[in-house]
Amino acid sequence: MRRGVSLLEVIAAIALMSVVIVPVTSMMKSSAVLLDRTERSRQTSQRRETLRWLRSQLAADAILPGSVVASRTTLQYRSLREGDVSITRTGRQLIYRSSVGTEVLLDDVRNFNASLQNGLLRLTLLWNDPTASRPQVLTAMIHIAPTP
Amino acid sequence: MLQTLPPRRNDLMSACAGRAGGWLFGRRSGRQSPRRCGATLLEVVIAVTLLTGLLIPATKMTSGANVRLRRFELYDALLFQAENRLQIAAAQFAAGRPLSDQLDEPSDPTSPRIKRRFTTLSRDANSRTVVAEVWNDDNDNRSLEHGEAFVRLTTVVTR
Repeated sequence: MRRGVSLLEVIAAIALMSVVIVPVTSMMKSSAVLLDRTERSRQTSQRRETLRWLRSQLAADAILPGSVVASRTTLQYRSLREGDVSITRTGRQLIYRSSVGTEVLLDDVRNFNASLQNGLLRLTLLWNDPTASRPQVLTAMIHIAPTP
Repeated sequence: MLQTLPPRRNDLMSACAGRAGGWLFGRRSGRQSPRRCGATLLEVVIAVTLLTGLLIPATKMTSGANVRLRRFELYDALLFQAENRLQIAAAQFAAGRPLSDQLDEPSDPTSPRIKRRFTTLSRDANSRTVVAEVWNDDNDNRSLEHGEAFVRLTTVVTR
């Protein structure tokens, strides 16, 4: 004798499943969106924090006048506190070198650009965001105050 | 001598519930049906209702977290842009140039609608109080309106 579920039970099961599936899928979708946004936000915040740290570092370093050299991949200057300092992109890392030591500031940097004009230093960071179609850009403006 | 008695009315109903209607209302008696074991439809309906009742608020909370994260990210971007504006103001004033917010700045990855402006509060020969206002221009009309996220930073720039 064959035993199994009846047609009525199958219909009832499908109806119940469809009731459950809607909130489950919306929950999964919003969780995925939240995870993506958190990751993107973490990357951008980390880069902002690095640029803020560089800004405060440059303000505190007492840069000697005329010692700043800004190029496409490197920023170099001489300061009273740290000696010769260079911030360079090497491969995909942004590296801070001074007389005190070497420090990796950021990973996964696609490009780093520094330019100086009328005492205003412009630092631009480019990085790849897997969730976005274009590379992300962040620019920090830093006023280089002349050393008294 | 074994005598077979006709089944009583209650036993008949239990047998029906166990065979034909047990999947809907459950078994009325303690007697186990040989055909069906497991949850009844009523129990499944209750479980589904409870599960849905838990999932809907959880979805709303996740969406709420998404909105709050977006808001937090936006304010961080606005603060960063306002700090940039103050640095620009300091450099312009130190160089003896008029304060101008007509500067080519790339947009922030957080929002393309971030707008900026300067206001100078006091005019002095060697110092100036500068207010940098940065806001997210939701309707893109270049004016700060009620409800739009904004950050205002004030500093004194010296020469």
